[in-house]
Amino acid sequence: MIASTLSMIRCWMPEIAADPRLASPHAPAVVSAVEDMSAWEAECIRQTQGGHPEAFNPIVAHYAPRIRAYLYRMLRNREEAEDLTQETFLKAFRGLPRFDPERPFKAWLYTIATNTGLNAIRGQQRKGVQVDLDPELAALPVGNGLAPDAGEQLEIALATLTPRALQLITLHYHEGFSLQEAGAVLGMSEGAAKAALCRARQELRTKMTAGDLSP
Amino acid sequence: MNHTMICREVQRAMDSAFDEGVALTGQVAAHAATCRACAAYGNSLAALDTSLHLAPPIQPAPALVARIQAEIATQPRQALRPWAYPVGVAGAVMILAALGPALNGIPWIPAVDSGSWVIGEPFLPEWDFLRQELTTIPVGLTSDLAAFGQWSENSWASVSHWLSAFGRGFSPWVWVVFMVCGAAACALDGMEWMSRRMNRTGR
Repeated sequence: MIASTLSMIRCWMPEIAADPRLASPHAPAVVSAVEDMSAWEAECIRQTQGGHPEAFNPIVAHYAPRIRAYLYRMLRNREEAEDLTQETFLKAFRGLPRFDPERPFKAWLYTIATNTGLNAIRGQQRKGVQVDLDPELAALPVGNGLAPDAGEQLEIALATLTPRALQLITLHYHEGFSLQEAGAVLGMSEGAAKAALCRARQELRTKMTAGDLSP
Repeated sequence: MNHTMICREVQRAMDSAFDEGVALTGQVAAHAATCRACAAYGNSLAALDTSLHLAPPIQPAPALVARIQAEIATQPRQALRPWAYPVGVAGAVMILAALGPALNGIPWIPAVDSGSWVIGEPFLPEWDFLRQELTTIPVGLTSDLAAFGQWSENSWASVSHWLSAFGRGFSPWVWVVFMVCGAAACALDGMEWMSRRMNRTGR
């Protein structure tokens, strides 16, 4: 009983402190995002699988802002991104009994978010919903050494990418996934992910040549 | 190799370097230093790479986190693994099957005359028939077939005895309780499924 309580406390403690991007959002992820599944995360998953749904709370606290940002970038609609974030976590919670703890949790969660987002995008396309550029997405950190409108230009170019290419760019550059890990989330090999990333970057570059990003 | 082809190779090498996050090799850097097109390509790649890495900061979302946590708290508990249900049912059946006949003193294996299992030993009394031309079914083989038939009959008798003991071993109430438990499990499972459907449509 005491051991269980202690492990639960250990599970809850590091939810924000262990989050380097919340502490310093401008710092690029240098370690593999997927392989960095920490002990507290594994413990939370184990306890949730053991019938303690409250042990899932730290995972929600840690990943919900990221998943929301990921889906927001895909959908460009704040409310829908939040609804889909909730749906992603509910799907993950319901699927957790079938989750293999040997597999990377983050990649699994992002796969659920990706599929949820893609379904929503298909729905948007069917309904013909027009989304506008969001200034929040175009706001790059100040003092970045780039032109003042670089963020806006980039956002306009990103908006023209296919959902898959946008997801690949987001996973690789913003979420810190390696190409192999991002490819696994999107259901493609590392080679295919590399080629797709190269194409996407080429496309971005071509679309942004009209505006120079250099200061 | 003409100049355009070299530039294409150099730009491909620049792409790879950005993919892998490594520095440009000496040859590529040397070419870029002398070629304006490749230098521009490298600069634009670097600017793009920098701007992509400078993602908008992730905003904390305490209200959303609280909303999701509250929603998860209303979800049915999932302490049992998916395999627990079939394993539990199979285990319960096995226990009932074992307890019923045992409590009623019914033997598991019927008394069988072991002598009747083997007919006409030895099975192959005359080895000489192997040297003879095979025109009819040998006597020994016929005995074997008969023994096998007898063995099958005895085995089936054993199984049917066990099955009848299984049925006779219980009071009818045991079956009633067993069926009620099964129905309750199905109903709970159905309710959980319904609640999931309603949660989904209510979003």
